[in-house]
Amino acid sequence: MNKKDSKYFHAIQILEDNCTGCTACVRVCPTEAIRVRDRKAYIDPYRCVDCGNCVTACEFHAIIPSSDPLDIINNFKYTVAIISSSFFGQFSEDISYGNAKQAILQLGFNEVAEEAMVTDFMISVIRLYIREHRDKRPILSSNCPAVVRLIQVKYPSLLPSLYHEEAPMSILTRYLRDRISKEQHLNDNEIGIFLIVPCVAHVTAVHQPEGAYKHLQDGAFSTGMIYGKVREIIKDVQNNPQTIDTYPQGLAWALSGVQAELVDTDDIRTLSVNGVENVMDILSKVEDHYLDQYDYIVLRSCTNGCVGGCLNVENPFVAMSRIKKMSKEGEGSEIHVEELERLHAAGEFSVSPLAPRPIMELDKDIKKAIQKMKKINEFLTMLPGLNCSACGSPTCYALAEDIVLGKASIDDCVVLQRGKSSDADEDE
Amino acid sequence: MTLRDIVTLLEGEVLFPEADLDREVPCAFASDMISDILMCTKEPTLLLTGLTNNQVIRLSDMIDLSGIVFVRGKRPLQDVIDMAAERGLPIISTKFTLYRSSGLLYNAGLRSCKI
Amino acid sequence: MAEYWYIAEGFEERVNSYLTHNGESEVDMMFSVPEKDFNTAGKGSSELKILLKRLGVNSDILRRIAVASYEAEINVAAHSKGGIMHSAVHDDFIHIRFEDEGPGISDIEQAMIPGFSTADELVRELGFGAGLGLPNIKKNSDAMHIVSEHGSSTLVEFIVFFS
Repeated sequence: MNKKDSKYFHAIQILEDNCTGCTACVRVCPTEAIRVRDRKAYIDPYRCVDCGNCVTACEFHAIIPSSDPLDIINNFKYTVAIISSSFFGQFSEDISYGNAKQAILQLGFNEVAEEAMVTDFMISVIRLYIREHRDKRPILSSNCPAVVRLIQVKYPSLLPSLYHEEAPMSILTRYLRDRISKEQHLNDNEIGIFLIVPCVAHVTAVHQPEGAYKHLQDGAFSTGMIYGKVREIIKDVQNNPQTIDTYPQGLAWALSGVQAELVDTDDIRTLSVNGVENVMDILSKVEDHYLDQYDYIVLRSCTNGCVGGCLNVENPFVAMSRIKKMSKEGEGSEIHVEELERLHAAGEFSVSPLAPRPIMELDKDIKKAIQKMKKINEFLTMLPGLNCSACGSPTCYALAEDIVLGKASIDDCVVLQRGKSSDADEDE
Repeated sequence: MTLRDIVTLLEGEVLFPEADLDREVPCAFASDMISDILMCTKEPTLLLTGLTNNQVIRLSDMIDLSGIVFVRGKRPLQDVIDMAAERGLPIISTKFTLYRSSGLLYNAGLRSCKI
Repeated sequence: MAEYWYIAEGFEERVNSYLTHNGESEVDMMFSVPEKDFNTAGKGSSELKILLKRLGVNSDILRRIAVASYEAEINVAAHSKGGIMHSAVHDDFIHIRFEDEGPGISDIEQAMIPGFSTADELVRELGFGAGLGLPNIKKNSDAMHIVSEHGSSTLVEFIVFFS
């Protein structure tokens, strides 16, 4: 991934030396953003939504996620780690929730907070928003950054339906910055707030926040990286345990199905979807107004929600079952919501409307688009229709479109180059 | 130069009998790359090629071809020959290589097509 | 033989001009709609929606076309012996025709009444048959034409302008 494409930051990079041009990534990308040219993969930064499918599909360790190294916390006077709720599902039963959280604190942070702290608050503000915006139903959840970007590029007409307020970890960030700068008498740039995230979409959201107007977090650490460091010191922690606040009830928030269940009530009907193909199917139905009976739809790009993110260590189904078990055990601590409610009422958590980034249009001018489509159809009759992606484009249609837009040549089609179109061999 | 002259020069075999060989051929182009062939849109061109798939016949739907010469003794399959016959597109096979065929025709005065 | 015409106010001139000159379409799409197959029913309209997104058709107009097309496609699947959907994209409008093999509509005026339905048990069980299909097509199109004969085929066609 080129660093020069800084206009659209993506937390995914391609290690060219490892890339064999096998096209596995090309075929799994939901926005058809990847092409293989000269046997190397390239990601179009305008189309990529950071869903991480390519990272999971690559067998050669050539497409890898990028995230921040832990030592950046040394640049700040006071540091906080905010842990996303899927994190604790990574640990086997011999490591307790409290111990794992304590271990993170011992990695060098002044304070550790959790997404799970604000889930009750979230339920009430989401319900408030839904009731105030009945004309825009169904409201679409916005805390999966990959889904937000997917809507920008493929379903831009649905942008007004998004829940236009910050996600839980960002709300917590604002609250913490406010509180810490007053308590510790520190400037904003001396306070480092970091997220421990399960996916590349969240890394990108930290580095290039969409719609937020103030600087939010200072870095994103991969769940996998932190997991490794926690395991290194966990024995030590288990021998010297300390009491630490935990929020088991809020842990299930990021599991697909749970948020919808929690928000659902007498006058609010919710729907839950996970997995990027399923999300696209539902968004298409929302566009046609076939899901207007729902008030709120929770969309997660990964399997089972955030436990399915590509930075996780544990299988999403195992992690989900662990979190469900943990969320029923133990007493959660209380969090004081008055400050959050004050900030919310002051509009501190609002998000500005997002700009569309439509990728499907052939041309802004419909007449030119029609002419391009005619040329594409001509090329389509010449192509074999196997959608084998050996040419480096995901489908024959995509290659035809690339040819018309000047990005590829019909000679890229490997099947055409064979020179024969049936089984009989020539004697040469 | 007519197609008949070309068949003689290349000691070629006409692949379907009803082909109109008295057609005048103004120019020629030799290639195995479809993207290059698609550039010959300015005049009716004789194509010399080693490609024998049916896409090469479909090209004649998009650009004006006077005819196609398959070089190095290549013969397309019957369904491709039928496609050409349907379109009235004369197709010829020669045992000479692409290089020799191009040279023979060029020396005899057949110029390159304008791109 | 029953026939029904509807042209929305303000579009009469453009529609009549097309009907008299019968210009050729730029891009075409054909889709076959098999009878009582509710797994594939709607696929033609989905494909059409993708095509129109590629052309950059305005999203409000696109939704009208998608809804009208979907209703017509479900009608063919639910009520007929199967048929063909033919979409013709012209420079500034789309003309979609649904032709099926019967059994035909005996009283078109009645069929246009919202709530009236001749759907059988199977169709109703699947959630269709509310009787709003034809009125919905009319609501979302700029011109609509139905020709049908009881015991014979039905043609439902409509036009939506892009601007």
